[in-house]
Amino acid sequence: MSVPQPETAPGEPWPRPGTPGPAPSWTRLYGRLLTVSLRAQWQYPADFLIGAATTVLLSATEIAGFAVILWRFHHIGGWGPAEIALLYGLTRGAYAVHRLGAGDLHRAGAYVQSGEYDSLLLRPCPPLFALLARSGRIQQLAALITPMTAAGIAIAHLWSSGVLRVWSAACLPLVFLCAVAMDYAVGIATFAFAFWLVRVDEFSVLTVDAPNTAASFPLTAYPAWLRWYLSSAIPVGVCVFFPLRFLLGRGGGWIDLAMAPPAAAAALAGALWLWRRGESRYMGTGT
Amino acid sequence: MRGGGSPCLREGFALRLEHRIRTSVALRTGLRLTRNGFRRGLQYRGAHMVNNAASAIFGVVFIAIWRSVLSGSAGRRAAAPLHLSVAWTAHYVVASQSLLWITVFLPFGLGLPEAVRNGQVVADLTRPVGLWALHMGREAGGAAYNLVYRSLPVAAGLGLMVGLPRPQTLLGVVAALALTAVAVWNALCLNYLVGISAFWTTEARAAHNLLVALVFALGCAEVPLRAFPAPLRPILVWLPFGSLLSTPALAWMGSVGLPAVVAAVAWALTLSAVCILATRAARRRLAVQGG
Amino acid sequence: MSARVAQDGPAATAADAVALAGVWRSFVVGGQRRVALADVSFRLPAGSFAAYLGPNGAGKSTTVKLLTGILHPDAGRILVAGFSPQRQRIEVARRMGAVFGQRTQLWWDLPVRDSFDLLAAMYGVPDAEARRRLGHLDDILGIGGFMTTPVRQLSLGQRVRADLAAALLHTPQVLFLDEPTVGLDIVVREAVRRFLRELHRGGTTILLTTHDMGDVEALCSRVLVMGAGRLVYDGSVSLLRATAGLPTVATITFDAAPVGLAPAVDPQRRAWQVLRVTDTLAEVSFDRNRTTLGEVLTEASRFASVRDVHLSEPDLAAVLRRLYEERPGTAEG
Repeated sequence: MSVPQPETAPGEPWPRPGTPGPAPSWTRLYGRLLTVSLRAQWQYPADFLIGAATTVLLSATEIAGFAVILWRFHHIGGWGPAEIALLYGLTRGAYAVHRLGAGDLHRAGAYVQSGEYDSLLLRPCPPLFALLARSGRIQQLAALITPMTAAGIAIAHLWSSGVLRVWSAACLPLVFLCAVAMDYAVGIATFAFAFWLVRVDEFSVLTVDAPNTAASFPLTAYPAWLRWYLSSAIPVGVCVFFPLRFLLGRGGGWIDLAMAPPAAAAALAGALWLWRRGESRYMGTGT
Repeated sequence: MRGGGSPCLREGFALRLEHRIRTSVALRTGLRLTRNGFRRGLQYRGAHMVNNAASAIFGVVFIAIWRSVLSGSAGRRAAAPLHLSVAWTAHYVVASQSLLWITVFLPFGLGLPEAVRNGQVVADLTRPVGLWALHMGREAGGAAYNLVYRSLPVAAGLGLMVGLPRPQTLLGVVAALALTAVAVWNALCLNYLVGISAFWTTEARAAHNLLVALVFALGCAEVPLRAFPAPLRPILVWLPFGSLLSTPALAWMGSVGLPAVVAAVAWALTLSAVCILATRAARRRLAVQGG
Repeated sequence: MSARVAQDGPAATAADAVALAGVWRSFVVGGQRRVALADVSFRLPAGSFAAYLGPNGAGKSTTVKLLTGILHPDAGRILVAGFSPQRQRIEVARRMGAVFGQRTQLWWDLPVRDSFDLLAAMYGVPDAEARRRLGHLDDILGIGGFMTTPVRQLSLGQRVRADLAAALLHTPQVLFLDEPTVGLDIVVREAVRRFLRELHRGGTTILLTTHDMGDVEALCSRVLVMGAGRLVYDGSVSLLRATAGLPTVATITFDAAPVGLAPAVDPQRRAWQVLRVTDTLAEVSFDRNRTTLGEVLTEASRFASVRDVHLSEPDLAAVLRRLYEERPGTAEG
């Protein structure tokens, strides 16, 4: 590697500093950042395949346990295997989509601890955007396989048995979108605490992982305090369980379905506010 | 044959002495490593307590799922031949959730893959303490910390809600303690083997995930052995994974079977032997590759 | 905290690329408040090339963090390219480039080319224009050889060059450089310096934080020196040398051996001092604040006629050391 001498450089001079170019479309930039990082990970197919295989295996072993229970007892919390599969598929699928698109959000603690967050602040875009658009996890594509399969089989089964109708099936994508939005809200709010706590990984098990596992099963099976935790404190249940209960004719009313979008939007707004608070603390304007 | 037997004798004595010194060094170092491993955990007590609350939520979820399937007449009918009850499954979940922290959630490969990656392992191999003893000793300290600050708080929290499993007899308590110790030993050995695989492959992380998945599914983390289909049960009993969770959990319930005990002890011996052989092979590989 | 009230510094003008006025910033470290910047004010007119010097912990990196919008000041006003880094961070970011020697701004896992593509998109540089600029950057910095290599596999020298190119792709008006030549070999360092000179000629304002005095002497017209959170010097390199009061050493060659000239002849009387005399050569030191070279030579010619003289100015590192030592301690309180 030799460094060419400037004497051999072409005559045209380096452009004078000018007015900056137009601000890009954020959605397009987000898509571009994500695809580029996914493509980069695809450069190591062996890593990807082994990681994907273990991811699928982990979720399959998890399902196997509940399959044994359902095989023996036919229901959990009054919900049959197909309904549970749909609930599980939508909840975990939404979480996998969130992780796929949330980039390094779940590493926010490391960013704050190492000061790497500084470099996000040098970019001409909101740092949260830069964090979310960083190194999307291609492994999460594999994490989608099991939930999507479960949901697919469940929908086919529920459709042929007449539980799902045209209108209720049409509502499922909306429920899924709300669930993804809620996962973003919970993730952003949780990792905003990195600005105060720095070590936030243990805390996130309480607010992200445990609620996600719990919300994959009918909330009606749980004690009252856990139901409250999953519908108010960490309202992941509001976006899947309650709307789905109504759509599957297992109780509740229109309001359960109608509540999901505003709840997700409100949670997202609250999470973004919390993030900004944390960020200004990081910069030294807070408290 | 110059000098007769006397130098030979002296040499033998010196060797024995050196061996005794090395053993005592190893023991003392091992204890110190264990203590350090314990102290390392202490720095993060606060964060770990938050994590324990999450662990308890996982426990509550499984307890609630079992309660929901076992309540109602149909559930009771299906459960009767399996000797499953709401209280029994709740206690089982308490035991297995608490055991997770000392037999499943161990550091990735006992820290060996990281040591291999950053070259620390070369220095470790020149120490008077064997590589195996070094990592087992250190992570035994980690497991001891987890027992005090993670397993016991989780057990206490869940116990407040559904009660604690207790063996009925003194022999039962002794057996439960012994089988828990065997479970930790086997877990450390399995994780050591995952770690030492880093000498040959860069996919040790996948091996770790595989081990965790297998222990969760085949070690009966959430579904007790007796709920599995009958033909599967003997297979699960004789696989090593049950000795990490199912066997000690059942021992605390006072209902462990003799085959499971035999399997746990047999695996302890087998895994120890495999660990020693794997360490030798790793040492040879390093000598061949020159670090 | 009345002492912390913003004081009106020199009024910022539109021609200023960087302006700080009465900036304070403190941190709480281990329960104690430590002042990192105490009433710092300076302005860099557009097109300046200034070195920002000072010992570790003097407040250099805090200043750069304030200028780039990473930190907010406790008090004072800051403008970069006419915008407030705190209230209009994104506007500043679009007009500014930054290279921090130790930490890369590139995407760790991505090939260098992908990083550049993303940056071009992020800063709104049209593709054709980005290609043209990258070609130019390749000519100067030689980045073409590792465009397809993931950033994490680059050597330090390659990474610094890639980082520099990344910071310039959008032709920023202001460039903040923190130790950009650390760990680079001589050839690359020269290439980087040449490029910085070209940027400077083109009108880019550059603030260079460094410990490398070679960079400063080769590049900077102006020097800002921080000491314990305060600006202790602001001026040219030559004036800095003069104010430090360090002696200049002159090596005088005589036609014949200077009879009677010997070292350590009572220094009180003369403004210059003889260090060494060997045959027809004499080394003398003098303080430019107290005397001139002409006077020294006139006096020296009394011993023998002077044929030649060689001057060596005080080492800049020694000058700075003197400056730091004069202001010991930290700005506590």
